[in-house]
Formats: sequence, C-alpha cells, structure tokens
Amino acid sequence: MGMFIEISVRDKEFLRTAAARALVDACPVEIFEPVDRRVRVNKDQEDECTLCGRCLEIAGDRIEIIKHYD
Amino acid sequence: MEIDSLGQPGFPGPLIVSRQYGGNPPAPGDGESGSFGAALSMPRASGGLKASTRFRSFYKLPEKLCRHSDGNFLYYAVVCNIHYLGWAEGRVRLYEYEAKEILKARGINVPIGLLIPGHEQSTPIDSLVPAVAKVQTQRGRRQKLGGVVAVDSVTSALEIVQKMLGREIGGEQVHHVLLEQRIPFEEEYFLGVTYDSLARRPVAVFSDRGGVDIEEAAAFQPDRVHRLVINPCKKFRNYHACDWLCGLGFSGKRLRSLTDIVNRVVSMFFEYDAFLLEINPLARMADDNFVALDCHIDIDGDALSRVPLKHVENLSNRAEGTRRLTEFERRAREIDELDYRGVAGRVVECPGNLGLLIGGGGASLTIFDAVRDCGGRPANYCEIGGNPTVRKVKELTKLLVSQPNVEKLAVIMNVVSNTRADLVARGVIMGIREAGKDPCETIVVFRLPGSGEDECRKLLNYYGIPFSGRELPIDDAAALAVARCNKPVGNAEVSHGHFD
Repeated sequence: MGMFIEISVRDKEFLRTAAARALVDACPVEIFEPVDRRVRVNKDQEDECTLCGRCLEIAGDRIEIIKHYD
Repeated sequence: MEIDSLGQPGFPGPLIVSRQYGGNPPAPGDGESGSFGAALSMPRASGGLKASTRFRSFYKLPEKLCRHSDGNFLYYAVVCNIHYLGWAEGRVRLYEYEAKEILKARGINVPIGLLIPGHEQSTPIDSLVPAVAKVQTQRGRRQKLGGVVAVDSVTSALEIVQKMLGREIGGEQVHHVLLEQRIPFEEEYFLGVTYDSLARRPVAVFSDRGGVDIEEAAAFQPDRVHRLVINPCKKFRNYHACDWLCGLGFSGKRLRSLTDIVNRVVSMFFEYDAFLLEINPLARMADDNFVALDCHIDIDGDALSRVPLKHVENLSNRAEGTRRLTEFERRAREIDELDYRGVAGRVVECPGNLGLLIGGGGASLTIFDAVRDCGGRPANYCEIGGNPTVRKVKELTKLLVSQPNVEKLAVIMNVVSNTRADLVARGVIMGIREAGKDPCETIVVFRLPGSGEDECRKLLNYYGIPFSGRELPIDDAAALAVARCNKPVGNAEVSHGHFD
C-alpha cells in the first residue's frame, strides 16, 4: 500500500476481464500491470499516481483512488 | 636508449613509450564544420550575474573560467549550471597530448613528442633531447607546480619522467608524461577562442604576451589583448582572420601563417563544440612558421556524442575542469540516472547545514544566492525540475537530509508548470521519513506554487507542514528558511504562506 495513495479495487473480478487490460495502457505511471491472464495493482507504484483519473474513466466505480492525506 | 625497460611508480609492468605525434602536420584540414554547432552550444546562463558570482566565490572555485567573459561571471554560471555543465556532463577538458593530436590532424604544427606510458611500439627518445617533460594533468599552472621540466639528456629525461609518474601535482595524480622536443622560437603569442557571454557570441582572443597567464596580460596590459567577436551564424572565412590580424600589424608570411592558424582554430572550436580552445604559447620560429607549444581544449559535455573524439578514452567519465565530483554528488547523479523522467539529482555539495531542494525555471541559482544573502549556510546546491518521479525525489531527499551536517531542509521553487508540486511533496516527505527524521521538524520552508498546488497544500497540511505559494516571494522564503534553520519548527510555528 502506498504511503499517500491507495488504489482500491472494489470489484476484483473486473481485473480478470478484457476491459481491464485497458488500464495497463492508460496508466501513465504503470500502476496496473498484466500478470498471467489478469491485471494487478503494483503497490510499489501507487505513490507515483498522478491522479489523472484515466483508470476511473475505464473502470468507473469499480476502482477507487484513496488519498490517505485527504 | 629506450625507456620501456623501466618500471614506474604506481604502474605495474614495464614502462612503455610510444605514442608519437607532432612534427609536420598532414595536408590542410578537411571540411569545416557548420556554424550551427556553435549556436547550439551557446552558453545559457540561468542564474544571472549576481547569483553566479556569489556561487563561484562561495565555492572558492578558480576564477580561471571567468576570464573568458571579460570579468563577468555568466560564463561561469554556464559552467556551474548543472544543466549545461553540470556536474552532469558539463565541460570536458582534454589532456594536452589529446588536444595536440587534434591540432596536428587539423594541420597546425606541434612539437614532436612521446607520451609516456603509451600503448604502441616504443620509440627511442634520443632524437627528442633537448626536450621538455610535461605532466599530463587537467589543472593549469603546471610549470609553477614543477610539472614542466626542461631536460638536456636522455638520462636526465628518464629520471625526470620516472619522478613525475605517479606523483601528485595540484591534487591530481600524474598518469602520463609528455616528453616533447624543445623548440627554439623567436616570440610567443596567445591564441584562443571561447564564448563571450556579454556579446553572446564566440570570441577569438589574440595577444603577443603568450606564455604567461592571459589574465595577467588582460589586467595589466589590456591594450595587448585583442578580441574578434565571431558571428556563429556565418561561416568564418580567411579574410575575417586576415582583416583582424592586419589590424594588429602582421604582414607577409607571418600574416599568412597566422591567418591560416586562426581560421583552423575557429573551425575546430565549432567542430568540437568547445567551450574553450586555447593555444598558449603559440611560438613563432625564426622562419616565421608557428608551432603550438601548449593547448587546452574544453568541450561541451553535452556534445560528446557528436564530436569526433571516438579515439579518446574515458571521455564521458572525465571530471570536468579542475573539480571532481564528491561521493555525495556522484550518488546524487546516480539517483538522477535512475529514471529518465525529470531532473532530481544534479547536486553540488556545500559545507553548510541547510539542505536545499530548489529549482523551477532556472531559479535555483537565484534561490541559492538568496539563502546566502540571508546568512544561510547551504549544505548543497541542487535543482529539480521536469516533473521527476516521486521515487527520484524521495531518493534525492533522503540523500540530502542524510548528510551528517544537514539539520533542516528548505524546498523552494519558482512557479512550476510541468513539475507537479504534490508529487514533489510526496517524495520529500517519504525521503525524510526513510532517513529516520520527522518531516514536520525537518522542513523549514516548502514553497512550491504551480501545478498540483492545491493537492500539495492538502498533503502538507496533513503532515503539519506549512505550504507557501506565490504569496511568499522567493527572497522571503529564503529568509524564512534561514531564520527557522536555527530554531525548532513544528505545528506551533506554522505560518501558512506568510513570512513571520
């Protein structure tokens, strides 16, 4: 978990869908990475999140960006 | 007698002599380089005269670099500015023997010489004596430090060379000695090309007071130092040099020889993206031919990939000018190289107690200067920009605050546009915490207006660190940092964006 930012996936099954693959390409700081046939959140990269919101555009409310300082 | 049978202190194995060069140059040089190279490598000073002057004096760095800019220090700012010098790449000085190889290749006479040790077939040195043994170091004033010695016999030459090798001269260890034929000459001149930051153009400098420090000549006999400002956007022609030299009183064969040399030197200056190309002394022999007895070439480190110096070894690893990176600076550079994104790791170590994380549109020198103006003692000069990753900022911050002498950290930047303030704040806080310190106690000022400012403010407030934006001028931020550096900082003293 990042010190400042946490990417919380509410719908774990979403990461197994083909649509979730778009997260890998969309994230500019490689928070999402493909592993086997699913996508996972790279916890080491969470604090690099630029809050661009591209992942939210793709995943909607199935993903939440939690700011621990907010 | 050959000297490859001798050992040498500090160097295992036999002493091998061999790289021979000098003597008659090949046919006149090939095509001349375009002038745009010079335009691209024109110095760009970001900190201004005042800042760079103080920066130089604070470091007690040699004024030698300043002499090429008619007494102003913008040129030095270029050299000190990490972007262009930086301690990242900056200027790369060639050794004398390397510079002379270039001169010879471009058709300028140099004395016949042997580099000791060399890599090729050894060559007898009998033909060289009487000779001059010269240590190959990058620092100047070798003669005054005993690094240039005249020798009259092979035996004495070998003894001198043996003594020189492995010795330390001016803090630099001698790895090579150049043994050169001693040339009888009539007169000594100075010829150089460098940048004049006031004119914002290259300038050729000529003096009939060669063989001595040109600074002395310029200071005491300025009428004997002549300058020719060069337009980098136009090809330098023979007649430019000829007109200039005619005006200096040369004629006949001397004029023709010198014109040719000036033209070649200017061409080389552009071709090699040099900051400085200096022949001192340029000796006139009895037959009115000229020989370059010594030469310095400083090349723009950022241009190393395109200059024709593939034969020169370890060029990119060479320390710039006369100053070597400290361990701290080297580690900072490694951090900067962790990731291509942004700049965070161009650092110069200082002896103070206030760590600085500064930058933003070239404001780093100004901020450094402001801190000094307020009586602060920076522990480092540093700059970040270009939106570095959180990890880079974290590693850099950790390095800065881990220095034993660093008590506090000031983050002061100009208004940023592409650098995200909140990402920098994350890195700073993480770095301080990983260094085992309390961010709230360590950060004395955090002024970072611009992109991501609101998010940055929220983040810092969460950790009890006052955030300052545009409302706090840089000078006031520096004063605040210095004032707080010597007293505890915490929530009780939080003053959001106002100088108290």
